[in-house]
Amino acid sequence: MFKVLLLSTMVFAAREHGAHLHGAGKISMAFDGKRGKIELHVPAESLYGFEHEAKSKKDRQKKEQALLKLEEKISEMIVLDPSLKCEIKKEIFEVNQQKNHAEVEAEFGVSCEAPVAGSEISFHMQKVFPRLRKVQVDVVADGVQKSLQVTNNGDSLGLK
Amino acid sequence: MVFLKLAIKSLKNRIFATTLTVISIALSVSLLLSVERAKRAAEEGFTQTISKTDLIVGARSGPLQLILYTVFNMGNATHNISYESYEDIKKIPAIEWTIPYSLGDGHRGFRVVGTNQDFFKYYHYRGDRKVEFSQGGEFRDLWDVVLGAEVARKLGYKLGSRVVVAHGVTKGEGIQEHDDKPFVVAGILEPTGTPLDRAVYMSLEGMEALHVDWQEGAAPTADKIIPREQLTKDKLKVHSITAFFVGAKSRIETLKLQREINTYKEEPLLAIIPGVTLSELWQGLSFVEGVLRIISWMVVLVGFMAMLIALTTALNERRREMAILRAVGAKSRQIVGLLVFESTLLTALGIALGVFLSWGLVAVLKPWIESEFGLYLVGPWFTSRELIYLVITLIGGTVIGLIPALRAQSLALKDGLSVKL
Repeated sequence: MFKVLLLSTMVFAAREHGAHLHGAGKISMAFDGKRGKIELHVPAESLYGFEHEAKSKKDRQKKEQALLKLEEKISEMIVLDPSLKCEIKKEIFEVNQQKNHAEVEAEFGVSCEAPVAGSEISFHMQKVFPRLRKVQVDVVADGVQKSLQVTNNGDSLGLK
Repeated sequence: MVFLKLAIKSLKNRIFATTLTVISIALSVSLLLSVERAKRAAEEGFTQTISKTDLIVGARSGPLQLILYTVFNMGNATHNISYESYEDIKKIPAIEWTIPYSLGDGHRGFRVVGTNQDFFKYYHYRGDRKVEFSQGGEFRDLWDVVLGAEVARKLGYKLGSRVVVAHGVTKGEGIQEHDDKPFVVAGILEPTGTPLDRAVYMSLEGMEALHVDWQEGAAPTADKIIPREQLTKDKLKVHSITAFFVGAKSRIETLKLQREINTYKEEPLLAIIPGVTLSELWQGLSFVEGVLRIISWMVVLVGFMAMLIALTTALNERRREMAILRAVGAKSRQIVGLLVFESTLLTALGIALGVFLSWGLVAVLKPWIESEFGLYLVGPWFTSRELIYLVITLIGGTVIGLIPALRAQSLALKDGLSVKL
């Protein structure tokens, strides 16, 4: 028991210090009834394969394509219950470029026809970005607070 | 129909052994279901220890540590946070309410928590349950304390009892008692089945009053003690707290708020979403769940073995019965069918009895389990997982029945009719 607690502390601590781990992303979602927001933090490497500044034409193209794919396929990566008839719209895309590392930060707005709390969300991250191996998902939906580590296509989280 | 009649008559004929077999299956099934329900209850009780709180804020450490020392009364904070930072953050428009939390002192092994009236107003657990009083009310005076249900019960305190708080959490007698400044019990909380029951609550100023005359972490010498009577709420200034709970105006703003607090420039702070951290922690402990499940499957297996033994021994006694059935024209596969049908019937009866047994236990023991262990028995009577378990058990029982049935089939017709010498 103690070992597990200790281990979890270490894991959390690493995450808390904003460790930049290739292949590992973080998604935070919050919903007030039918409205919501999705925040995505992913190492650039997991989306377009490199993290240096995209200077060459080829690199720029790769980056743009990946970001376009993220925008277009977001509702295939994060699948909300179809009966809620949700629409996910891009709000802010930012690439936080540091010397050797880059992190893509994206925000999406969600609007649905029914409240999201009580439904189920499934995740298909690798289907779109195979290099994204592990995603920590935190969800707040009205009174429900849940988290899930997504490692496989089809992993789902019930918001009950 | 003939099958059913024959099977029932045959089982009736061996009523004692049959009953024992059904009971052994019923016990295994009810254990399997109870473990499953206890697991659900433990998860529910655990993740619902705190609810309706959007963020918990403390000094920057790990989310797990923060939740353990605030919600579960376990471990200690690495740092306190300054009261100025708390006041500063409280002003952020997205925040609806806050509850300050100050830890560090203890009373005979229980935590002492310094907080304010907002604790009684906004602290929720298990959905929308609030902290309620079984006796008395909130602390009003500087020297008032409110006791958690277990503290009052274990230490035998009543309204008006005098409580001496010790410096640091201690078991039994404190290392350094604040005996110059005793407190008076003003209220006792209703049992909640959460760690709330195991703490003593007082005002932030009361907490401050304990240490007002302390110098450099040591108790004052006799000439420097400020008498209890001279201290009043307005003379005391709160310097630091250990953590605070935050309710945001909207959930969407919670994410932004969390980021804002985590990047607060004046002081390194950590804001966590409690439910998220709790469910992460629960996932980390899920191996315990696996162990429990393995144990209950083993019990089911033992139940099946008992059934196998009962059916096989009965088979010896039933050689003649089988032979007569064959003699009057029953085919050998009909004999197999009959025996498999019997074991399926026994398993089905056992499952039904087991289900009722586990429901009955839950219904009878629910209040006691809730108050004693903090296990929160809610949710549906059946989950799909439990149904799958029952179906597996039924199939298992049927398959087990095949073993004696096939043995019976191989016995020669004359075996039961010929007289053995």
